[in-house]
Amino acid sequence: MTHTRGAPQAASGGRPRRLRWILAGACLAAYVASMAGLLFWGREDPLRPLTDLRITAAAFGLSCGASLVAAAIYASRRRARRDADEGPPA
Amino acid sequence: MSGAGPSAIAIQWFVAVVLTTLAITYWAARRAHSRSDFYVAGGNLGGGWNGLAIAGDFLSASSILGIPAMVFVGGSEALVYVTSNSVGMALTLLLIVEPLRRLGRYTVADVIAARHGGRSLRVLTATISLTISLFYLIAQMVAAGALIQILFGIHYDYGVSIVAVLMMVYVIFGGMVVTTWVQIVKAGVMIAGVVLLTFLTLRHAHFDLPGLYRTAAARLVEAVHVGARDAVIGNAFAAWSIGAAVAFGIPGLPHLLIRMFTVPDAVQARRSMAVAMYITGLVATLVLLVLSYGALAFVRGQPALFDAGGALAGGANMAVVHLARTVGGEALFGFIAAVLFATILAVVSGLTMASAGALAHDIYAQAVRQGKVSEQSELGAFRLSTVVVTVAAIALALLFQGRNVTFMVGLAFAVAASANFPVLFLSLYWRGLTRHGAFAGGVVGLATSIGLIVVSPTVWVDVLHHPAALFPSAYPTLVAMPLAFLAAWVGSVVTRES
Repeated sequence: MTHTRGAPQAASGGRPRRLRWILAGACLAAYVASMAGLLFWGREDPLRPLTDLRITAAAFGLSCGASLVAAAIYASRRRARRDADEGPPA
Repeated sequence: MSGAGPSAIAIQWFVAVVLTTLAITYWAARRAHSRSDFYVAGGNLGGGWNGLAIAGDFLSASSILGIPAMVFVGGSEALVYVTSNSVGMALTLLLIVEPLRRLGRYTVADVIAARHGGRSLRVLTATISLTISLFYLIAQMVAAGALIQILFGIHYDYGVSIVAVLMMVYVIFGGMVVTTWVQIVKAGVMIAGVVLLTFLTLRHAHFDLPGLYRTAAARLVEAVHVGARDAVIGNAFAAWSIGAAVAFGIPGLPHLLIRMFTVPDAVQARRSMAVAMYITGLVATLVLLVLSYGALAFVRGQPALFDAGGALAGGANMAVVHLARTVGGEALFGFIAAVLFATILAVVSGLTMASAGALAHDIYAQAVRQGKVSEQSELGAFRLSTVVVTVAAIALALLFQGRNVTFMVGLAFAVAASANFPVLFLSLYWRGLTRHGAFAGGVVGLATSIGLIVVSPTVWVDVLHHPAALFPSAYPTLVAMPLAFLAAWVGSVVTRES
């Protein structure tokens, strides 16, 4: 491979690395669901997601909640692996 | 005072904010000597402090003023922005911050250069950073001009100039040290301000939350004719495109990413981002679910705040400021206005840091001088770059007066998601990416996102007065980002064995 000086360290595999992809996938899935809900309920009256609080709260809660839970899991699970995770700065 | 004129208490709070930030500048300027101090505050900040600073950096005028403004005028894109924000920060935490911290030193271009080398790629990455930061900066300056106009009753141009001079002073004298502490102080007072305003709004509604929402919904339906504006929720392409811009733009925002270099290691970078997520999640919840609907319920019902044409005094961006005056009187109005002013100062300082760093470190020191530059010479270039960025920010803020701040921040997100994120993400995770592939991805992402914005209805029709737009939407990310990934892949495959 030419033009590639440093190997992407994050690409190295192993179970600890898998957690980030699982959590990122879960966040994206929750986000897609919340966006799909907004579009579904707003398809005829675009103002409805703003005037019907149940839709606002559900869409926001799903996306924001999933992201915060993922952040909490990631921050706590990986804190114990601080030595294993640490790589030399380039 | 019931109208929208200048307020003595607001002026006192404003002066207090300015004096506090100048005191921080004086304190920090005595501690900022080296290149590392100026670019990354010495690189020894704790994760918790940096998390506060990231929250201070990220929660901009767009979050506090723009989202309620969109809800206030019936803009359904407000919901798309807030649902996309959290996933964008989560993706940044999960996928970007740790490898970024390991590879980078001062700027995002350092990370790309560490992987691929090459002057042209560094210049391109710096240009992308500069473009994103300037778009973002315009939005903050526009909000600042409107805020000072409503606070003091002075002209918009002077408001913009005051903010520009202050941000220039912070960055020139204290670099990232001052920027960091201004952002930390701002995050603290902003959390206090938002929580206090939330409590007083709920008290004003007699803690009857369902009643508040019923009133807000009724006022919105009365005021807004659906279809009179770009109803994003009714337009799937625009909704997904804004969503993609925010969700994938946040991991590509240079002023956010350079904060990861202010901590000593990847563990602290991760902790920083987690803390920032908790704070921004709290603030976003209160701003969307209480303050936005509070503004609808209580500000829309005051005819004195609207002109003959039905426009809110100071524009819709000032809805939250008027809410503060309504539920808390002059004292709260002054405090919230000062919090918003501190918010803008903190964000523009971070943006100026990112812009000046890209000019001085990436373009001057690394690309032009190829690293053969003394520390003093680079710091001189950094200060000169700060002046250049300030002048550009003033000129652009005057040009874009009156535009919705969240829309303009959306443009910055669009470029970040289309040009910065693909190259950064592939550099961190795909071993097959070559220098030519990275360059192709960056060029295609930047050119496509900017080009499609120019030929969109917002610029091509509204600004340039052509009869019809060449691209149907103001939101290009859904087209530009995949094209950038495709260009990076094709460029890498074609040049891999060369």
